[in-house]
Amino acid sequence: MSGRKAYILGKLIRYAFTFILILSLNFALPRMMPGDPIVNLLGEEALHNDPRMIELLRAEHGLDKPLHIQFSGYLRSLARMDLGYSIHKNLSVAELMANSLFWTLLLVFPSVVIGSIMALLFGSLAGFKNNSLIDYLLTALALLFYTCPSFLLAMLFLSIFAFHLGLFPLGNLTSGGREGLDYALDVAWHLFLPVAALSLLGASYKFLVVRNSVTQIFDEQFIVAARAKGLTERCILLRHVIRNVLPPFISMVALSFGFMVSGALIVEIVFSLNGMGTLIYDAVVARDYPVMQGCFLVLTVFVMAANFAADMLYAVADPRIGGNDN
Amino acid sequence: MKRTSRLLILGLAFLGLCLTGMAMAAQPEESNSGDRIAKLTIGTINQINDANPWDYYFGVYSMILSHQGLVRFNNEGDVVPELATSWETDDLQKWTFHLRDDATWHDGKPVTAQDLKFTIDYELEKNPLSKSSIGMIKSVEASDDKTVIINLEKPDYNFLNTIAVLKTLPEHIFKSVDDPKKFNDKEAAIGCGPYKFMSFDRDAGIVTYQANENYWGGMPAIDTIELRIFKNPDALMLAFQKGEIDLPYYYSKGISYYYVPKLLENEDIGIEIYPERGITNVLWFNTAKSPFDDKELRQALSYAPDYEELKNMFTAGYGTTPSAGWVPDGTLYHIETRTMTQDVNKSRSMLDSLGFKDVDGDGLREMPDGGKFQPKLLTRSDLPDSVRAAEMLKKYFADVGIAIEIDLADKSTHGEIMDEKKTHEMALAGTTFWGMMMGEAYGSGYTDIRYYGWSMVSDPRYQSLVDDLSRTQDKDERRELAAEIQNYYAEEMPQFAVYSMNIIQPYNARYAGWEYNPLHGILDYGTLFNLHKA
Repeated sequence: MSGRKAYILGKLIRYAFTFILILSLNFALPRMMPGDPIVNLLGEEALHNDPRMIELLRAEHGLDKPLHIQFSGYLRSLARMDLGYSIHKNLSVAELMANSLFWTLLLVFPSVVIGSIMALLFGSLAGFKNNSLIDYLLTALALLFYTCPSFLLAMLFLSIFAFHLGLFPLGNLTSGGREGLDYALDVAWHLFLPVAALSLLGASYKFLVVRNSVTQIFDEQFIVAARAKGLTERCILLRHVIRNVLPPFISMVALSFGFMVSGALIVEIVFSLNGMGTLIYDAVVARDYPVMQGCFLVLTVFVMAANFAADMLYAVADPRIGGNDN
Repeated sequence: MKRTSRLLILGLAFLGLCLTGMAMAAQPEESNSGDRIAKLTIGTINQINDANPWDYYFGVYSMILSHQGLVRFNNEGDVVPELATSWETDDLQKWTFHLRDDATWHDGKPVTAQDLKFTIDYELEKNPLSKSSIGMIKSVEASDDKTVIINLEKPDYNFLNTIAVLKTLPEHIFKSVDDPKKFNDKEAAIGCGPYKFMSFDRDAGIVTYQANENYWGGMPAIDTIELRIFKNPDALMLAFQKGEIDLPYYYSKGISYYYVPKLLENEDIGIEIYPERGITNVLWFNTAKSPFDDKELRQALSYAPDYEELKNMFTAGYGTTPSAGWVPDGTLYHIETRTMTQDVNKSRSMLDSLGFKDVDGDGLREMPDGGKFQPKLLTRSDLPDSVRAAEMLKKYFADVGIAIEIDLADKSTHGEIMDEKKTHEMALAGTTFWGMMMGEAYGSGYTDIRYYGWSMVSDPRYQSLVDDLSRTQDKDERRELAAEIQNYYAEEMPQFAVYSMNIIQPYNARYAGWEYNPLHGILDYGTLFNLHKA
């Protein structure tokens, strides 16, 4: 047990150190980019390029202070769980993110789950039936989706299923003016195509990894031993092969979960969805520092939590990791 | 196998649920009888974040639908009365406006001179951005309920243009609001225009407006206006072709020519081409920087591009060949100047006589002092057409022996360089109708170093023309000044137009009565009050 505890403690210390480092980077990176949030804000309508006005606006957002003061202010507000106010959008960062994060999770979480399950099922099947017709078919399909740019796949879905067949809406999250079950069904109807596109895109590369792992493991000596014991092929696949595919699969899925909160920019744009992808993109383009910091913070937390969960699951999937020292 | 079939059933059940949702959502809109239009659905990619008049695009649509100013631009681009019925000024510094007495806010309270005074004072106090547009206002007085007197810092003929885009706010709503940008209450959208804001559903991307039955100018022709926000133009055009929306509308822009062939096949769709009153792409010289302070060099470079080729390439024929006087045709007091044409031999001989010669025999010209000459052309990386145009210019300049370097920058960096740092040598950027009205109009806001000054002109000859425009009321004198400023552009060439795209505006052809306004495009009072079934 002490080995397991030390393993967890060691991981925690490393995570804490990484977290602080990333927090500082989140503050520094936006400010290292060329461009200025205030000049962006002035835009086309600014008639007189009055430097006093720029200074005034800088002061309003605290951008006139030296960097170290801004940094300590940033850490203090983080401690208060205050993410600040967007420079460009007239809303608080927390408010902006709460909305986008909710829809992003609703969009990406099912996609990751469906995509992962599909990859595990079909990948194992293709690996199991290596060089069969079904393997060729599934691998060809996976390669097709893997190499297809996401905007092309999303546009094809939109064009075929929404425009030509008229089965689904041409975008947005709801039709508006609905409540209760009606609203939930309407949202499901709106999210069907984007979730389908993201699931396929996510499944394709995980499929290839699973298929290749399964194929490799089938050549291992312990599989020969299992066969010699007289186990059925199905039993070998489920008990011995999949178990060994799990560690790389878990880390892949964990990463997908972690990066889930960065949204799915391309799919969000094609289907006109308000998600984290477009929020982050808009913030970067406009150099909206508070929004960038807030989004990166959430991203950091999610990626690290997912990694931590993966580390823990690893230990479950593979008893050699984090177990007893011997 | 049991498990697989269970999974299959679950999947089918989910699909079934989604399709049920679809069936419930796809209820066709019933159109009412008579000539009135029950609902007009407008599709746009202008992103609205919140129903707050200080949100950029919500502000734009408020100005079009729900709010009004003292004056307005008509379809010819002239200033006409709106909340003010008349105005007078003797010295262009003290302006007296007389308000109409039948205007009311959407909650029924009358619009008074006090509201106008409050709006200006409030904007100047609460919104630092307003200083850029109305910062020249010294004081405002409401001498009675219907008279507003505005005193400026100095005489300004262009003041009417400036004040035309200032939304009037209801004092009784905002007097207790300390931070308007954070006031997202529904009351924040109360105006006095022909439409009342009803709702904003962010998740559905829908903003709804209802006709204002108490509007002083009478009831508009459309009962409900629904604004549907898309994030990408392709989905928007699909929705338009499917008949889900009646009008694709981008503020101050048309659609890409790329969509036109497909739209022409559709009988229910009409397309109108309007002249652009801004310029799609302009090459700006930083005239404060050597060697671009030399007008001969600027002239020489202006003969290098093939303007016909550029027009065909970037506008597919839906454009105009620019002229040397730079100001677009259709501008008040526009004059005919030389059409921009390619003349490679003239360009080369001018460069030769300026001393830009190929000394080391590499096919590229050096500076007159023998130094390397490779100016940078600043270009927006997020605008694909600008990047392509920059590549074309690079080719044309190479043909006359000038090697240029393309300097790509995203919107933010581009803005910082052009508006604040002014470190560019040459730059590509477009202008808008409203932008051309800035400063003292005729693009002076973009040219004169005292304003935006993208070409950094500080020539006293030019600045005195601009100053005269600010002080002169006499029409004949103004016509003369306008001609002089256009001749100045043609001769000095502080910037030149590379190509200009017309505005391609498609619409639902089952409705007729669409009108076009240079500021707001097809979505203007002409359309709102005259649209009817075709």
